Amino acid sequence: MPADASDDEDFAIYGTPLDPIEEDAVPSKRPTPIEEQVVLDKQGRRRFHGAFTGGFSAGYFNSVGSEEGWTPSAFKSSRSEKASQRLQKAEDFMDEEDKGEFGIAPKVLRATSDYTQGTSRKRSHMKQSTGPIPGQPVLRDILQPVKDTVGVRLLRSMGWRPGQGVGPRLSHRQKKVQQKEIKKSSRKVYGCQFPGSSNDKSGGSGEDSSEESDSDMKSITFAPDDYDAFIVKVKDNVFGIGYEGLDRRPVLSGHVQLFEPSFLGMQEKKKKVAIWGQAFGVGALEEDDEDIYARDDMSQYNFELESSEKPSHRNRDHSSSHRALTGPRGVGAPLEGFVLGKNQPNSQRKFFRAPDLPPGFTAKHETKQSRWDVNSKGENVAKKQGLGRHDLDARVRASILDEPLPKPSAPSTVEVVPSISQSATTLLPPAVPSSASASLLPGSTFRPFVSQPDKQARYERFLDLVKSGQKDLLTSIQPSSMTDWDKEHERSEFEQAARLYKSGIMSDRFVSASQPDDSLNPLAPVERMKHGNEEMQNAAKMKLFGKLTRTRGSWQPCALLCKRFNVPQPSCVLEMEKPNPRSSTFSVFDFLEASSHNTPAKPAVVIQQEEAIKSRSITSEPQPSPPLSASPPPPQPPPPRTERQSEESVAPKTVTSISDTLARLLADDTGQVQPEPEEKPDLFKAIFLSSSEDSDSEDEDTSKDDTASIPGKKSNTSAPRNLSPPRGIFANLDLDALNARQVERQGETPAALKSDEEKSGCSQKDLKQESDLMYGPRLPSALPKLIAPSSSDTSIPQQQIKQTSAIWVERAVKSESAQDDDSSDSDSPSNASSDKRKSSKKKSKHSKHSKHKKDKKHKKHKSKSKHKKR
Amino acid sequence: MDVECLKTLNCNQGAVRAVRFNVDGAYCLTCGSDKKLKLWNPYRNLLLKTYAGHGNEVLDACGSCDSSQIVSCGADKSVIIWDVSSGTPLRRLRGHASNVTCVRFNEESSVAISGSLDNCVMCWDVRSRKNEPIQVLKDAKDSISSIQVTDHLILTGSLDCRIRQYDIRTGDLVTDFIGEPVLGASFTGDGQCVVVGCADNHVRLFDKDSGEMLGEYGGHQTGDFRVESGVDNTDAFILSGATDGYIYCWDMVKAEIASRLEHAPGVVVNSIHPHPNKGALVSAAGPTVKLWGKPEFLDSDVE
Repeated sequence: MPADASDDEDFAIYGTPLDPIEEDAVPSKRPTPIEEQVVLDKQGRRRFHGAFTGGFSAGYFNSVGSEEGWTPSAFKSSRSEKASQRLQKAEDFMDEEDKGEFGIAPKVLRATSDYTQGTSRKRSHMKQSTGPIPGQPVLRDILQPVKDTVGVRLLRSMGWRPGQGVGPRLSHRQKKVQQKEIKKSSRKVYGCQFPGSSNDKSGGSGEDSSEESDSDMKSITFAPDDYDAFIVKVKDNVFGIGYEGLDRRPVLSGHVQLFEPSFLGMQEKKKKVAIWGQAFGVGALEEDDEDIYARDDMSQYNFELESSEKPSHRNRDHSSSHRALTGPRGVGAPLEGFVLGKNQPNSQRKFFRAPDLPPGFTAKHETKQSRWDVNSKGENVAKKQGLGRHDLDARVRASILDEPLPKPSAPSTVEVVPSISQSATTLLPPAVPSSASASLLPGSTFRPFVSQPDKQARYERFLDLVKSGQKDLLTSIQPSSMTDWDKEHERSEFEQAARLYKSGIMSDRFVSASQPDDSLNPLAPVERMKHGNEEMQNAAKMKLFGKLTRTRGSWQPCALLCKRFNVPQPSCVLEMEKPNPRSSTFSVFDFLEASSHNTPAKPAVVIQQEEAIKSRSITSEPQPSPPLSASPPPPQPPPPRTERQSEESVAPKTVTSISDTLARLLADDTGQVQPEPEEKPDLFKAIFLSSSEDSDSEDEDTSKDDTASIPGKKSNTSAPRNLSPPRGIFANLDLDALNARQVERQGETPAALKSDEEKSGCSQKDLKQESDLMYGPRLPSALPKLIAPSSSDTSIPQQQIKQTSAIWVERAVKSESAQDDDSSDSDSPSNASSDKRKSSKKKSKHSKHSKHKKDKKHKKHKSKSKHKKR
Repeated sequence: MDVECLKTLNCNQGAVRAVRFNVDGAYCLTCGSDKKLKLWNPYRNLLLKTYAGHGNEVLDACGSCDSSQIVSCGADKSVIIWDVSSGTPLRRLRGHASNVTCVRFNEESSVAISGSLDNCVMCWDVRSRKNEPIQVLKDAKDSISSIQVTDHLILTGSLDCRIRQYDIRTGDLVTDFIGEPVLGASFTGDGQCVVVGCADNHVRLFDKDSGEMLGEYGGHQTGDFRVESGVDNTDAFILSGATDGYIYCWDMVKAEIASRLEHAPGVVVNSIHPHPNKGALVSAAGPTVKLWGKPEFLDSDVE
């Protein structure tokens, strides 16, 4: 124990002991992975990333987060601070590194532009320009004033002026000395100089000459002379010394020397290019230039057109010119280089009369405030002073011009023709009358160039010339201002137009309006609609209101309306049928309905039409269809038929196809259910299934016949057609006219149609007639021949059919015991044949039918079967 | 009718197509050709609210009995029911095929009845959300020019020279032929007579029950304008606008012009509306609306 204690005491323990390592725990000795080895910048921000994670630090650790992390800072509306929003500078988006020494915007101590440019620090007021171009004046940017440096400004403030030297002021004498020294130093001396030779001499003489005036100038001090700084210009080209090549630069790019002789100007593609200096010296064949290095200027060229007595003043003898300048300015002694003008200048200037001002002209110039405001006063004034031209109509103008009054209608075609022919006789017809006459009649002639009156006039004269065979004279009409090409073009245009007109392409197509186009004029007076019948109108006129003008009716307020009005629903009125659900698409006809019944009583015409529809409906009604008054009677009036006959008669049914559809439409309109006419499927069968059914067995046909006969019965008792008068779009349909046309056609082939009742053979002619009346593909012409052998009846020729029809009628007469024979009317020749027919017909009644015939046949069959049943 | 112009409202909404008092005459509505409907306190010349939502000119308007709703109609073929306080359209009723020229609430403001250029009168249930009219009256043969609704009667005037009285209690429809296109028809205060403005420059007074003419008032010009007419609250004067810018007042019994109120000379006074229970009226001509009445009336109302 003590040993243990001493053992313990031997060691001094510092710090806190580590947790004892558990045996099973393996210490992780993995090196730090690459993704955790990050490079940080001096702020501790991660600097580089992997190539796929951006490569370079962006934002906050490549995130879109903010400094606080992902939570965005609270939204703060800048609405109220809009006014105080300052401009963003590029520096706002730079960090310190960018602004550092090697960044993109290093911060260096340097003079501000204000300082170097020397502009006043006063805020330049943004002046709103009043010129045509808004904004900053353009020239201000282009032409920047030359700015003095600070040194120049400092010197100026100390009293320096440009042209003076810098230094203490000197007296006159001192200055002279200085000048001499400068001259001496600037004189180039080549070779050796004689010691003190000429220098002293000249200096002395200068002093002497100026000594007398020295006394006056003693008190005056002068600024020292300026001397040019010796500018060292590095020679950076390989030309000879002093050579300047052609300087190809825009005129305005450099300094323009206004007072020096102008250089040779040259223009190159609108861009002025100055040619400066001299190129390539002297050509081989030219004489030597006097002064190779001289600047070529315009003064060295002779611009005199006349041959001058004196030699060209190429010589630049200054002394002589000087003499001429200083010489006495006599009348006859002009300056050298000048020639006296030969003609006395016209001292009397020619004055032109000022132009006559238009009446109402005011000298006041109205400025438009903005080019955008169109409604400036000037326009209105112009409109007002439009001489009232547009207020005049043709008649007023004609009366002003003392012209004959234009006719209101357009009968003037006749008037024009003589004028043209008249003018054609003369060589060059006067343009004015023909064009004027043409303009008088609107639309009566083809006027292709109305938009260009003078061209139209030329065109009209051209037409006259063509008439007189002098086509070539067109060029004499055309104004001289037109180019040859234009003239030729116009000629071809005219010829084309004339061709168009002559060939009737245009003249046939357009018809001058016979009535004024009032529908386009919203201001045209509209007649007031007349309401009410005569009695009422008369009563109202006589102010006898009361019984005469009052009409009492009843209406059915709907339950909900009564409920909303807190009124019990009137019980006297019949319970109204439930309002049919309103269709979502609401049609114009709902509203047309109300207006179409403008008169309480049904007009007679409507009733007639009603009857017409009734009579023409497919479901043949018992009464025989009365012939329409409007329709012309057919050439062979149909014999008065019995009920059955009318049922069986095919002709009116085929004819009424149009009125049928109309009636059906009308029925649909009122919601009346109309049974589908049973002929329709038969029609299609007859057309499309005929060939196949012909080959079918007889039994099948008969069975079909029986089934078909049942709806035929029904049709007899079908509900009456829509009795209401035609409404909406049908109100104005002239059904009579439609039917009349059909009847006419029917009249052409009454016999054939009648013969159709016999189901027996259909001849070629029949087919043709039927095809006129039906739609769909035509039957092959060979069909009858194919059918022919199938039964003896089918091969009956046309004449026989006619006979059979007669027989049929006869038989009907017999069965009905009606009045005596219609057969005499029909063109049947013999009774013997008719008997034969009879038997054959009976046989065929239940046997095969030629189904390629039209539906009527089926109808007949049905009726026949009916007969049988009876 | 001794009234003078108390206030002139410059509505600033184009031509004012109609001006209407509300149910108690405290406010008025102006229907502008700039598709806006405005609610005014005419006594203080105060614009209270502007209701925008029509797709074309607003042609007529009517306030509900509790002044919580407004129904308006316009050339956009729609009838709109507005919430007065919020200014939002509550319902937009489309069913007419043409301009809706006139619209009225019934007494309880549960039904809105509108007449249109499509010759139809449509009754709209305000209380339900149905978008179809509960009833369409297609009796007229021409445009409906005016509608008036009483507790059990619907009176329509139309350009087919007829006025029609639809009696809801009995289911009777009484049609009176006037002889001239009807520009406006309204009941007198006692409900016994009908004042009919005709297109032949006359206003006529008819007995409601017999259909006989009781009086004829002329001397003004209506031109081709839809000039409204009416009767004042005491049933003593017949009022009508005119094309010459005056409001004509006739003595009902004597049938003489009692006075002419100058609104704006040369401008058609197309809309007038008498105060429901005071001797005042509003009139509209061009862009201006004028309130007419007695000065003390204005003082009492302002306070």
